[in-house]
Amino acid sequence: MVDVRDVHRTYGSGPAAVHALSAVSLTVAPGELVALVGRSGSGKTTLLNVVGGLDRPDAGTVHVAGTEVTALDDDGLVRLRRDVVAYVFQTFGLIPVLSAAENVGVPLRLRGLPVADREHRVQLLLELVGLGAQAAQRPGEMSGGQQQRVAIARALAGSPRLLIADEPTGQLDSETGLAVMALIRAVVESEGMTAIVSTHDPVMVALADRVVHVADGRLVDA
Amino acid sequence: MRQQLVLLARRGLAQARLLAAVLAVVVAGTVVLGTCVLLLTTGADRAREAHLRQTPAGDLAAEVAIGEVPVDARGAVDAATGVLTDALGPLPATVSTWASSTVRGFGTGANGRPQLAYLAGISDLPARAELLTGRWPAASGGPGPLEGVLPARAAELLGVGPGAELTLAAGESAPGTAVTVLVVGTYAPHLADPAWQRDLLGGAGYTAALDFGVWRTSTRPAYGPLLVDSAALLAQPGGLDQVRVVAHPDLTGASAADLDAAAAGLDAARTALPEALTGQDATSRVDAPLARTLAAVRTQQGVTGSAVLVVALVGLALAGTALGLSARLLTGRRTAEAALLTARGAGRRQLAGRAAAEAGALAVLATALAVPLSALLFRGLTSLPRPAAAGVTGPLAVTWPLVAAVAGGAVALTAVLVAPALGPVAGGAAVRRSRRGVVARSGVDLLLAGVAALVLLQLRAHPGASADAVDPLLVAAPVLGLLAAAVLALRVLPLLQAGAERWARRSRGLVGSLAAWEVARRPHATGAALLLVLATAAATFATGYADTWSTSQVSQAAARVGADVTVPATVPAPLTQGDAVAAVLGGTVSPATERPVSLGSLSATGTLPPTTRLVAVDTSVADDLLVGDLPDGGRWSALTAGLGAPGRAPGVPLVVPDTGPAVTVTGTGADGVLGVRPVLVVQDAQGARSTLTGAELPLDGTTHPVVLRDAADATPGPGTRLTVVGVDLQLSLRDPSAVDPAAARGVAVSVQLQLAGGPPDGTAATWTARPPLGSSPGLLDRAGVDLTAGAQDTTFAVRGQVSPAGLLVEQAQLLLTAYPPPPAVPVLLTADLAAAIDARPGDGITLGVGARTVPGRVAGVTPWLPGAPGEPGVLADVEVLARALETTGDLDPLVDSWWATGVADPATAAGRLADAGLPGAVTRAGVAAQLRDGPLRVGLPVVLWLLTAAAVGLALTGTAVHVAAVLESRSVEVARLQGMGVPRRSVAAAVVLEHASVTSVAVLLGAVVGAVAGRVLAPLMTVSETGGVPVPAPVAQWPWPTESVLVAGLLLGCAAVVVPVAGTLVRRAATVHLRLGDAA
Ligand SMILES: Nc1ncnc2c1ncn2[C@@H]1O[C@H](COP(=O)(O)OP(=O)(O)OP(=O)(O)O)[C@@H](O)[C@H]1O
Ligand SMILES: [Mg+2]
Repeated sequence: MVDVRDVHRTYGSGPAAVHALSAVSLTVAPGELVALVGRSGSGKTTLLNVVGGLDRPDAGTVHVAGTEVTALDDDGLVRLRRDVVAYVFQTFGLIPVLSAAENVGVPLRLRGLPVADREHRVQLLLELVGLGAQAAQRPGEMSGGQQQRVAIARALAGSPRLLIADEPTGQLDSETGLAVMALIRAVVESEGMTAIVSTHDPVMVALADRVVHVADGRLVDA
Repeated sequence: MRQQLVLLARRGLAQARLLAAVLAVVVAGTVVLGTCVLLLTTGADRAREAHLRQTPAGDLAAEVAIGEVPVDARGAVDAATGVLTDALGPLPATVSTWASSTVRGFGTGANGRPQLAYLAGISDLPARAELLTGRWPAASGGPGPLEGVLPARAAELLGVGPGAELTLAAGESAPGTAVTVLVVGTYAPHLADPAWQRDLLGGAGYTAALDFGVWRTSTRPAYGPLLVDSAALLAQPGGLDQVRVVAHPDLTGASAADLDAAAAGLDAARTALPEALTGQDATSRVDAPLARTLAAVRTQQGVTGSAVLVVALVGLALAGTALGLSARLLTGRRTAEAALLTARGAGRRQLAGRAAAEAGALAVLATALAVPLSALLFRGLTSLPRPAAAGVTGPLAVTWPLVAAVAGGAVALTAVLVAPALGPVAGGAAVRRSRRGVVARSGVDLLLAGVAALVLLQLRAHPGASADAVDPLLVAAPVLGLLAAAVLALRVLPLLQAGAERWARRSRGLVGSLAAWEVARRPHATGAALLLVLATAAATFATGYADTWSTSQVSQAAARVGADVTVPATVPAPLTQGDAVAAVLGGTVSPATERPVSLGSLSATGTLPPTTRLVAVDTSVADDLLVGDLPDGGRWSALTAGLGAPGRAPGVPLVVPDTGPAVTVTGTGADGVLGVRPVLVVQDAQGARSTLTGAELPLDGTTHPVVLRDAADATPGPGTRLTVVGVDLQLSLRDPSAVDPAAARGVAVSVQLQLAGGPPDGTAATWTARPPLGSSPGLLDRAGVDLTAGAQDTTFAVRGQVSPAGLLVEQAQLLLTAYPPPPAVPVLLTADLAAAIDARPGDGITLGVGARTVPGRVAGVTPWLPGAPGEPGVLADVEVLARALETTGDLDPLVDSWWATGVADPATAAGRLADAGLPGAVTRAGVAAQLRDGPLRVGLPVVLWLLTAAAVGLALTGTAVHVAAVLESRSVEVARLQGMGVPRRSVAAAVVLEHASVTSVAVLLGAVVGAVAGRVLAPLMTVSETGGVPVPAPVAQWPWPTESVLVAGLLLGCAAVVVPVAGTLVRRAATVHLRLGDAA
């Protein structure tokens, strides 16, 4: 599903250059939930950005679902995000003026789903993340955990094949974080999705199929 | 402190773009203010100077007229000069004198009639007349005769030239001794110089008939003035009729204070003059056209000043709104910072101090920028074609009032920036439930609307501006009206938002829905929308008002002149004057009667206005002649239909052959004791009446040729084409002693009047003979006339019976006309007059015209009187009026002026008429230009252009600030959308759509507000030159093309601001924020 090959990413140049990723290669099988762990500044976020097409590596290739992400132009990347990859941000990434249901509906509107189908699916997704009753609430009126669950529901709405989550529980207390992690675990299984999740929290790691350790921009075998 | 400044500077740098925008708004607002101040100060000074430069010298003079000149004329003149120069105070003045002697006997003429002459002494003689032969009189003081120059006309008629000695008798009304004058030259007066109007003969040099004698009952030929040295004339003991001392002040560079002092001084001179002349036993009078001119200038400047203040206020309100919006955005971006500072222990006072310091810095910077910009803008505006033509252009002006106003304005505007810092610090930037409609919910808009409505009602109840002071009502009304309407219009926004919300819910797509949600849920749209509504309203209102005002000036000019061109008829008017006018102007020419009329109402009640004007023109061509706009597009022909215009009177053509008119009279009556004086009433091609009078001839059975003379005592020139429309035979006794006063029996009279001329015109009118209305019964009876028309001539055979005894007491008149006597003159009363005397159509009314009274009938009401709009008056048909007056036996000239419309090249009409000897023409175009583009008037269009430009500028700047700030605050959100796979183009489209819809709605609402304000307010704000209600009433204009261009320009301008900002934002958002791991 995901094939990262010999990827390099360096920020800056000269003596101040930071080698965020050095010769990283990684393969993730379909349906696999991979946890990226490592110390702060080790390069987790950089790797996720490169995999998701939000950043370009200096060298190396990335394939997602058979598409060479590193060779895509802007339009190709837009299509990739719309159809293949979904992101869950540490800061939830919801649109503040939209209600929970409307936020979840955005990817569906992007696909031009009929209104009735859209509303039905939004309701289903919200119920899936346990927020059926909060559909009309705006992000500002919800707790962090609820917001992150809405963000997951929204990420799922487009039926992506790859879910990329960067410290989805970073802003949540451990109990809520665990619940969100469990949710991701559950949807990966129920929807047959592939997921790469970065996290600091070793407790969350337990839920992953596989754990990849990152240190100083390199993958290290545990 | 240093730390504080460093922090301020750092913060300023970080928000440089927003601060620059705020600065731009403050500068724009203060530039409007500064330019208005320049218009009110420097502009007003220049306008006054330009106006005074263009004013004829006669209207800037101040003069003292001394009648019953005392023996010490020189002393009286010196005293008067002193009074005048004192009155004019700081204004340097040149003083001239015009002294004229009493009219004295001056030998007898060729026909043995005694004739008259008079002397005059004029300052700066060479400037007022041209020397034709000889030399100017020397300043004589020594022995020998007085030297003088004769008018060329008089010299020609008298057959004398330089070297001749003329002796003026010490005549009846001229005490003193005879004066002998040595003629040293001849001159022709410069008649264009209005000073000649002071002359007894108006510079004509000769008149055949000067009213003379104690009761001015007899007439004699008179010559003059014989110009002699002024000092010598004043030194003559007695014999002076009148001395005028005229001061012409030099007004170049005169300050407003100087002029006020002069006006006050001239007022005081009225009491100072008699005091200065005490003991001189003279009658004296101060006539100060200068004071009237200055008062008129002050009134007009007050009226224009009010308009400038209106614009300044609207401009400030706009700038305040724009700034309020910017301030909110600025505060919004600083809430986090403020929260941080508060958390670190900064008190509210500290925060406010920080904000104040920042505002102060902005104010200083804004002042430094706005002062030169205002000066430049003012110069640019006054250099536009219309103001430049008015002569108000000048060098760059940086004045203290400008600096003070700009600095004050900058402080006031930047204070708006401080205000939010004084409020409680809002927590967090989270967007909670929309605050939309805060203004609407609070009811502030309703309150404002209520106040505006009250002001409007007040304005309607008391239309017009007060003449002297700036009218606060007139000044406040537009600002309040526009603000109220704009705020009220915002009530539409929530409806729009609700609609957008509904639409988004039902929509399938994303782009439209995103835009709709943003429109529906972003609260700060209200501030931006208010600015746009207000700015668009101000711009469209200013444009509409400018058009309403201009149109009204043109309409007022048309009403004031009545026709395209009017020119006063000379007195007496030559027979061919109408033809001359028609030849010069072309188009439709009508004789017009314009004079006071006294109304005696037969059936109407009520109070008569003190002065009522009579205007009579040829209403058979009303639509071609009268030019003023009637309400609701009414036609003059429809209005004047009831005036009974019969067109030209029928008559007998009279073509004057080379040998002069061939008219003979043969008659019998009472064995030659009776005489007849035939008077022909003739009409020219324009329908104007005049008379040709013959000498008295005996009715002795023989045929007498008649020598006809016109009112100017001239015989009609060969080729003159006239129509005889009436004949007046004045019967008198040649030898009263042959009549027995007791004999009551009438004697038969028959008169044959033969005219060489074609047959009567095709109307084959029947001529009737009758004594004039109101003549003594029994004086003349059984009158009749038979007309025999040959191929070459027409003979009137008139018969009647006259009482010779009656003729001892009065003359008998026998009037022949080809028209029946009109029963009454139908007239239109002006509406106010009709209301004042409670007259209704059909009411009888008597019209006192001169010494005669003719019956009239109220045919209807006219909204205003052509040529004298706003005055109470009476409009009649000139032909009907002429017939009515003729019927009473009044054959005096009725033509006071000539009116013409459809003339070729109206711009040069006045000049062409003056060249043809008809000075004083008034053209509609000239009056319109003066009212619309005159120096004292052009300030209004200029300031409205300024408002339009400022409104557009502020709308665009405000929109730019708003869009930039709002979009920047949303860049994370925009990045998130892109992260979800929404194409960049769609995100940009959503952003543009959102702003475009709010912008368009706001601009359209603004246009509606502007249109409504234009319809309601503009006519009320359009006042006449003197601040009164204009006549005709102003009609609101809405110049669609200009307004459409303006609205389209605003929409395009906003689009030009939104589209690139949105594009940049979306692009930048993706590169900056579209990353996992970025805190947002
Ligand atoms: N835009 C950037 N410019 C320069 N250096 C960057 C940039 N983004 C990341 N880095 C650097 O690259 C390295 C890897 O950063 P990255 O954000 O991938 O770490 P991370 O493992 O996600 O850390 P954390 O667990 O704290 O989120 C760090 O040294 C960081 O300083
Ligand atoms: Mg990270």
